[in-house]
Amino acid sequence: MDEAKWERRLAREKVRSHELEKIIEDKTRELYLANESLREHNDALEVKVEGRTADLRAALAVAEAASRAKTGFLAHMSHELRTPLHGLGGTIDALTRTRLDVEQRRLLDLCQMSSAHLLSVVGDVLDFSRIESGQLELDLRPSSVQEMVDAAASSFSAAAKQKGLTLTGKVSADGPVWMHADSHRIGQVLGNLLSNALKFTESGEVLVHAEVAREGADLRTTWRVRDTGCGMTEEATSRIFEAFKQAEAATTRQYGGTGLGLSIVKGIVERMGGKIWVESKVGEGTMFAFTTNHKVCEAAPHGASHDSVELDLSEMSVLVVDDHPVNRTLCKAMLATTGCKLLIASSGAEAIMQVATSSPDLILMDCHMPGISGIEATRTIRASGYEKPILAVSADATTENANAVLACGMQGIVGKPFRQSDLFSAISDMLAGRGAFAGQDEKSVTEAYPIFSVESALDLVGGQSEMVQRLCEVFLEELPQSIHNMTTAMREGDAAAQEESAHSLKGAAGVVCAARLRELVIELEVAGREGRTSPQKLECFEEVAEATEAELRAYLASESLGT
Amino acid sequence: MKGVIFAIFEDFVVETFGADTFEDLLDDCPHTAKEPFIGPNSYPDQWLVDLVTAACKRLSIEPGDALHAFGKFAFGGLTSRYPNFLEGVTHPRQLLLLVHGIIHVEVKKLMVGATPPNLFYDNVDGDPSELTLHYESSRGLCQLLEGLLLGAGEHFGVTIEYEQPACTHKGDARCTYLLKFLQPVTA
Ligand code: HEM
Repeated sequence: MDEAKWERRLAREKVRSHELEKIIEDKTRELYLANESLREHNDALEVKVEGRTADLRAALAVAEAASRAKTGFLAHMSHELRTPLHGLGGTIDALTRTRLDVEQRRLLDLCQMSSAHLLSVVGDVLDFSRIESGQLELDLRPSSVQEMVDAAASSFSAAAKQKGLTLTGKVSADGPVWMHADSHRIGQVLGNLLSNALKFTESGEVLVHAEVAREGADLRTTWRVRDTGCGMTEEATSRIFEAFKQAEAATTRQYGGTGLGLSIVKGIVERMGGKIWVESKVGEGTMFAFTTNHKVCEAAPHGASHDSVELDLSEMSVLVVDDHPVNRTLCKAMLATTGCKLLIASSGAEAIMQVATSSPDLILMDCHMPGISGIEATRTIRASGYEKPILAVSADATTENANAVLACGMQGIVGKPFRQSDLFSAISDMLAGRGAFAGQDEKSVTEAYPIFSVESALDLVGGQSEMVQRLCEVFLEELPQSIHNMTTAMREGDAAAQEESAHSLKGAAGVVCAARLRELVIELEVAGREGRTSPQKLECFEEVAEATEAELRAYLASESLGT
Repeated sequence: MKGVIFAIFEDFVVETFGADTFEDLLDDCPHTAKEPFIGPNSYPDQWLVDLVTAACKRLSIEPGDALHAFGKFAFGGLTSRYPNFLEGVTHPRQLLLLVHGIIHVEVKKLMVGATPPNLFYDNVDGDPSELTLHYESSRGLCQLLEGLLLGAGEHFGVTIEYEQPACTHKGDARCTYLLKFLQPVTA
């Protein structure tokens, strides 16, 4: 090849490499710019996403707060309604024990029925709001399928007989029938289904049937309530478990009910991990069925059920320790029928003395007392060699408290407020050597205490109502600051500050006889002293404080109108 | 046509007939004499036709045979420049099914102004040792395609036999090839 060709070729190669370099540079710059703008995009996107997330979080918080407030309101209202209703029921009970003529008794029976009905409606609302907010708690204890079926059947046997219906309870099991279950809730479900079955059946029979199958450590139970009643259309069965729906609007009028019953039943069954369904044919009858799955309970606990509220403690001495006169009176009244010899102590110190001098057979010990607490008193009493049972009486239903109670040497707790039957079953459990944990279904406050009692306040100052008003005014002036101190301490988990604020508020609440607030802050004071803070009680405290303020203001307003 | 095809053509001539010959071809086609072919740039299709025509005249070969030989060479040229297109491919049938839907699509993204031909197939799910291929292009470079086909076969060590029942040069709307792979696709 001649020189000229080579040179041309070389020149061409030079241009080529030059051109290629340029292209590479251009492309590199393009790539860089594209990368930059991608990064910017990315950053902007991140900012946007963060903003969105924050917005969403805020919206969620608002929604949650709103829903909590709603549920809280419902639950609160139910509490508020139940307190006077219990009062009403108790009063009617007391009245029925007086001498009455026939007409009075008839009227009182009506009263009793209405108040029982109202109580069940309020109970429905409370259950419904708990289910809606996912706060329905189960209380799992050794329970017998047989006993649950028997109890459900027997509580409706009278109603069945009255309508001329046969009511049968049946259990099919080829193994154990004891399981760790919430027998109260299962009873509630069965009761609801049975009362429906009886309502809608005019002739024939109603059957409760539990079929138990064991699967390893589990007992799978299928519960059925079958009737020969009027039955339902397919359309009706499809909506039957929805809240506020009954088969027909007319049934509400004819048979009554909140319209919540079956949706509560469904909520409870689902909370227990089961399933509920209904099979029905118009004119032939209806069968409701639900499943539950519980851990098997190998050894049947001894005498675990307490149907009767009879308790015989004759020839026994019982020491009631409580700093609060109202509580002492209540215990005294409840134990009056047992025939026991009652001893009373109003402080931890007094209790220790009493045990030393008269060695009672059983002690009911309030946990939260000023000075020596029930826990401390128990420790001292146990240290002195006393071995008989001690039962804690406490409004604090937390497991933390339950542990403290057991650790100091008591055998069980009965939660405040409690019914006579709660107290009796706790006592008989203890005497039978079993730990007792009863009556703790209400988680927090001391509903037994009134928010404000004018009578007691008047009593305290010798009946001078101006004085009470003056005290209330002073109290209300101070209250916002006290609430602030209290909530800050609770929120920040400052035990010492909690104790201090609770202590000062306790005194003030005592003077105006704001009993519920006082009882609550005593609890908080004791907790603070023991180095425990109570953030979980915050909401409850705020509720009670607000309620107290409202009642005092209402009282002052009514007084100023009156004069 | 993209510069890469021209560059491969240059390689082909230089490697087969020597640098001299390529310079002579450039002399025969004055419009390209001073231009180096740059891969990413585009050049008129006619230039390639002129180069091929000049080569045939100078070396006294048939244009069809020239395109054949160039196609066979071009397969190696293309795959050595873009080796990632062959990743995971073990058989020419497999490759052919990728050319239109994936490889030429990516080529269009990588090179502005590239217009690869329209290739489509029959019997895709049929006998793995057979395939019907249709070729549609305004350039009418079916002999180049045949070369590429044979290059692919060689690359994978698979003999490809074909019949061409239809061809645009015979007045058909497109070129059609009935391909037979003597070593069928295994897995
Ligand atoms: C790694 C594999 C391949 C690459 C990177 C590739 C890339 C290209 C490029 C860049 C062009 C030029 C397009 C233009 O400048 O507008 C082209 C054209 C062409 N390709 Fe491919 N190709 C490949 C495989 C194949 C195979 C296997 C066949 C067929 C069997 C094929 C058939 C063709 C044909 C016939 C043309 C000529 C243009 C026309 O006829 O319109 N290619 N290819």
